[in-house]
Amino acid sequence: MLDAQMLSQEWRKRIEFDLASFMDPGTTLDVSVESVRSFRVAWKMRGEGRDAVFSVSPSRGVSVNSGARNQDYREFIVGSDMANVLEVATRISQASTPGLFVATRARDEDGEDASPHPAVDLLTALLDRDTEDATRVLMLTGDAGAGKTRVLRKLVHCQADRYVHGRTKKILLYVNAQGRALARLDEALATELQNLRVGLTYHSVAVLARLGVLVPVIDGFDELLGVSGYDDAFGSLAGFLEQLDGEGHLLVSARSVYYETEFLARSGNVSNRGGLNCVYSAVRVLDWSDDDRAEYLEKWGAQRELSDAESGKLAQRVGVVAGRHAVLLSKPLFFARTVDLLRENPEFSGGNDLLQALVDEYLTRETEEKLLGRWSESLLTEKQYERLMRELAQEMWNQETRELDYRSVQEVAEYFVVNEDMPEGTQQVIVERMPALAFLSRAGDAAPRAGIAFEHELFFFYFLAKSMASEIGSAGKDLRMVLSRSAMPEDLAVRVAGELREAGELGSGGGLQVLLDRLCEAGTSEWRRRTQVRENAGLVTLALLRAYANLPENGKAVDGCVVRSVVWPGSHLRDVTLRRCAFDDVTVRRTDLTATKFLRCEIRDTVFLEPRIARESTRLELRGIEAAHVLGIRVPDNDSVRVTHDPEAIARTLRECGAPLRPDSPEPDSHVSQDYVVLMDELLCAYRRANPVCKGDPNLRWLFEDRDWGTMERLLVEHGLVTKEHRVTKGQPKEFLRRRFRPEQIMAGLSGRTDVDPRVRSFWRALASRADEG
Amino acid sequence: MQGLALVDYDNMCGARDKGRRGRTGERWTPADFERRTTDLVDAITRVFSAACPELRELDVRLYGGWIDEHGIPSPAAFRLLQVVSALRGRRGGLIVRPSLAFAMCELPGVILRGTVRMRSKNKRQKMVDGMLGCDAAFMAASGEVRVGIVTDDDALVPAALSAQAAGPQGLVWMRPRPVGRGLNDRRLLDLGVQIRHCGDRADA
Repeated sequence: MLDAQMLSQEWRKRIEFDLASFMDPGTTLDVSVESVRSFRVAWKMRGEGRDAVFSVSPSRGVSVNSGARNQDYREFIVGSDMANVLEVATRISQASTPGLFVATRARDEDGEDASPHPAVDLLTALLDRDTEDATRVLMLTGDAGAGKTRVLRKLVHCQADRYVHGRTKKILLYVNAQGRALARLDEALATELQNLRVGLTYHSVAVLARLGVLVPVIDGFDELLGVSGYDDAFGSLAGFLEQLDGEGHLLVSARSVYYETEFLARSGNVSNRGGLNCVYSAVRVLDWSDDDRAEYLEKWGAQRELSDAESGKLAQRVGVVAGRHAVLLSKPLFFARTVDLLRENPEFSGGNDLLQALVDEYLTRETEEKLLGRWSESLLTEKQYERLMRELAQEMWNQETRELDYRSVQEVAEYFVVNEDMPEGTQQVIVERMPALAFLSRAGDAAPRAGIAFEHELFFFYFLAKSMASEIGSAGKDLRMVLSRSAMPEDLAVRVAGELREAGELGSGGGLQVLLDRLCEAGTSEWRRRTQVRENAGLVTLALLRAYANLPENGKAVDGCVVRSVVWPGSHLRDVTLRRCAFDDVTVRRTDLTATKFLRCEIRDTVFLEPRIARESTRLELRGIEAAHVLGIRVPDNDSVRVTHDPEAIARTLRECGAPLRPDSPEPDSHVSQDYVVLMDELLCAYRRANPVCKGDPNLRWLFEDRDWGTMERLLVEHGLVTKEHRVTKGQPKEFLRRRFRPEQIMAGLSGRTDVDPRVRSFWRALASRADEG
Repeated sequence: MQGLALVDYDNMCGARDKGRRGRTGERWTPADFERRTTDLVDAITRVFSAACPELRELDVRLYGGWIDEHGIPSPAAFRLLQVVSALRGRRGGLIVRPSLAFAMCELPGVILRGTVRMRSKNKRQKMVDGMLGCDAAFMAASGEVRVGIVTDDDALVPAALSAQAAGPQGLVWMRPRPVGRGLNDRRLLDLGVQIRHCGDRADA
C-alpha cells in the first residue's frame, strides 16, 4: 500500500509538472485526491476549463480518463486536445523539403557494428532504441561540408512523414543553432517553434522529449558549447537536459567529438537541480563513396533530363577534377558545386585550391552574367564583389551571428557603396538582389522575417578568413575583439593560415614569429572573454605552425619559435617537428600529437590535458615538463583510443616518448596503492560515456565487484567527489553515482599539484592512509 | 568601445500590470510585446550612444521574472526569447545584442531559479533587482564596458552608486523621469553619474 501511495505521489508531481507547460499563463492547477491511486486534476487551456482523472497502476502505468475516453498517459499528452503532435508532424513535413539527397553513410563509433550504413537509417535505428537509465545524447560528427545538415534535415522530414502515416510514434524537431547570435538553446528552440507556428512551448518540448515522443535535433551543438558567453550558453543547454530528467533522446551535430568530450567534462559541474543524466554515443558521417557520387550524378542528370551520352561526359569530367583534388571526394558540397560548374564550363579544372577555384568561377559568372545594370553592364567587378562578401562575413562575425537582418544588410551595402565611391542607385540594386546573389541565400525557409545568410558555412569561412588574415597580417588594433566573437571552427583557422601563407607573411624573415606574437599578445590581458580569445588564437597558431612546416623549404619543421598565453583546443600538429621552440603559459587540450616531434624544446607553466600521444611516433623532448602537469593522456590502441589518468602510466609513456622528466619530478603518491589508482582510472573511463554511472549497469559489473571498490566508493562519497542518487527508471529503483569533479581535477590530487581542491587532496590522503594501514 | 545596458524590464515595459495593455485592461498580444520591446531597445540605443558617442557595440540585458520555481522559463520569457533574437543587429550604427538575463555576469553558469514565483497566489518577481545591482557593480569594476542602468525604480540607487564608485568609466542612468525628479539625483550627479531621459513607462 505504501509503495502504491509513493508511486502515486511521484506521478502526481510529474503530471503537475507536465501539465504546467500546457496551461494558460497565469492559471493554476487544482488537484484533488480521489483514492490512493487516483487523483483528479482541473486546469485551463486555450481559454477552456479541462479536467481529467489520472489512475496510477504499478503494472500498467498511468491511465487518464478525460470525459468519455480512457487513454494511457502518453496518448493523452500527444493527443489533439493537448500537444497535438500529429499537427506538429504535419507542419514539419510541410516545412522541410530536402532537395536532391544521396544516402550519405555513417558509422556508429560506439556500437558493436562499426560497418557503414545509410546515415538516416542508422540514426533512425539508434533513436528507436529504448533509453535505459539516462537521456541518450547522440552526436553526429563530420567536417564542415560533409553533409551533416542535409542528413539531419532529411531525417527530420522522413520521421515526420512516417509519423503522419502512423509508422512511428516519434517525431524530430530540427533546431538550428549554427552561428545563432549568442547561441542559446532556449532562444534557438523558441525561434524554431515560432517559425513552425505550432502551439508548443519550450517547456512542452521538454515534456514530449521526456515521454520519448519528440527528439530535439540540435544542428551546431559545438557552437552552443563554444561561444564567448561560454558557461551561459552551456547553462542553457544543461538546463534543457535537466528537464529531461534522464529520459528521452537528444540528437546533436558537431564538427568533432572534441566537443562531446568538452561537454561531458563540464556536465558534472553545471547543474541547478543536482545534475544531468546523460549517456553519449557518437555517429560519424563518412565521405561519399564512388557509389554515392554516381548516385548523385544520376539523380542530378535525371532532374535536368540529360541524355546518357551527356551524363557520361559529365561523369568523365568530374573524374578528372576528382583525380586532382582528394577534397572533392570528402565534401559533398564541393562535389555538388563542381558538377554544377562543369556542366556550364567543361574546362573547369579546380586549380590548386578547389574552394578558391569554385569561388573564382562563381565570381566571374555572377559579375559578368548575372549582376548587371539596365544596359547589361557589370555593376561590380570581381574584386568589388569579393570585398562585398568579405564585408558581409565580417559583419556576421562581429554580430556573432550567421544571418543578418535587412537593416544590417542595408548598412553594410551603404558602407560598401560609399567606400567604393559608387552611384547611389547601385546600392539599392545590390541590397534588393542580395538574397539571390551567389554564395548567399535567405536564412531559414520558414522564417517570416528571414535575413541573409551564406549559402554554406564554407563560403562564409572563405570570405571571413580573408578579413581575419588581413587583421592579423596588418597588426590590426581590433585583433583581440575579432578573436573574442565566437568559437572559431577548424576550417576557418586553416583558411586564415592559408591566406597568410599565400600573402607571403609566413616565409619572410621572422614572419611566423611576428604573427605568433600578435596572436599570443591578444590573449594576455585580463577580461571576460579571455578564454575565447586564447582558444581562437591557439587554433590559429596550430594552423600557422602546420602551414609553416609544410612550406617546401622548411621540410616539415619549425625552428626556434615561441608560443605563449594560448589554449590549443583540440586540433592537431600531425607531421610537424618543432625544434628549439619555447612554450610558455600554454594549455594543450586534447590536441593530437601522435605524429609530432618536439626536439630540444622548452616549456614553462604549460599544462597538457589528455593530449593524444603515440609511443612510436611522438617525441616529447620538452625541458621543464613534469608528469604532474600532464592530466591524462590518450594513446591509440588498435582502432580505438585508450585514455588513462594513472600518473604512473602517464610518466612511463612520457619517458618512452623522450620526455626528460626530472628524477624528483612528482610521481604518483607512493602511499596510494596502485590497485586504487587503476580502479580510479577505470571509473573515470566509465564517466567518459555517462554521468552519473549506474551501479546496476551490467557493463560495469566488473568495476563495482572489484574487492577494493567498497573502500573506494565510501571515500569518494565521504569526500564529496561523487554523490549517490536513487532513481526509479524502468522497474526497480537504481543507485547512481554522480561525478562532481572533472577527471583531471580528481587525478591532479594524486599527482602532487598544489592547486587542487582540498576535498580531492583529502580523498587521496585518506586512500594513502588505507594503504599505510595495509 | 562596448556598452552594457542593464534593463529592469518590468519597470520599463509595464509588465507589472500583468501583461495587460495600459489601463484599458486588454491583454497584451505578442505584437504588443514586440513593439514595446523594440521601442525600448531603440530608445536605449539612442540615449546610450548620445551619452557615450564612442560606443560601437551595445549588449542589452533584460532583467525580469524569467525562470519559475521549477527552473522552467516563464511564459513572458518564452515570448521575449522570440522577440530578442529578431532585435539583434545594427541599430543607429551600433551593433546591438539584446538578451534575457538568466544568470549573473559573474557566474554565467548558474541559472537562477525562481526569479518569478508562479505558484504563489500573486505571481511575483524575486531576486531581479539584486541581480541587476550586482551585475552593475561587477561589470563596472571590470572596466571592460561602459555600464548603463535602465529603470525608474529608486531601489537601484545604491547599486548605481556602487557601480559608479567601482568603475573607472562612469555610469549612465536611463529612466523616464526627468533629471532632478529623484530624491537622490543631486548626489548621483555630484558623484559623476549621468542621468538621461529614456522612454516612457508603458503603464504610466
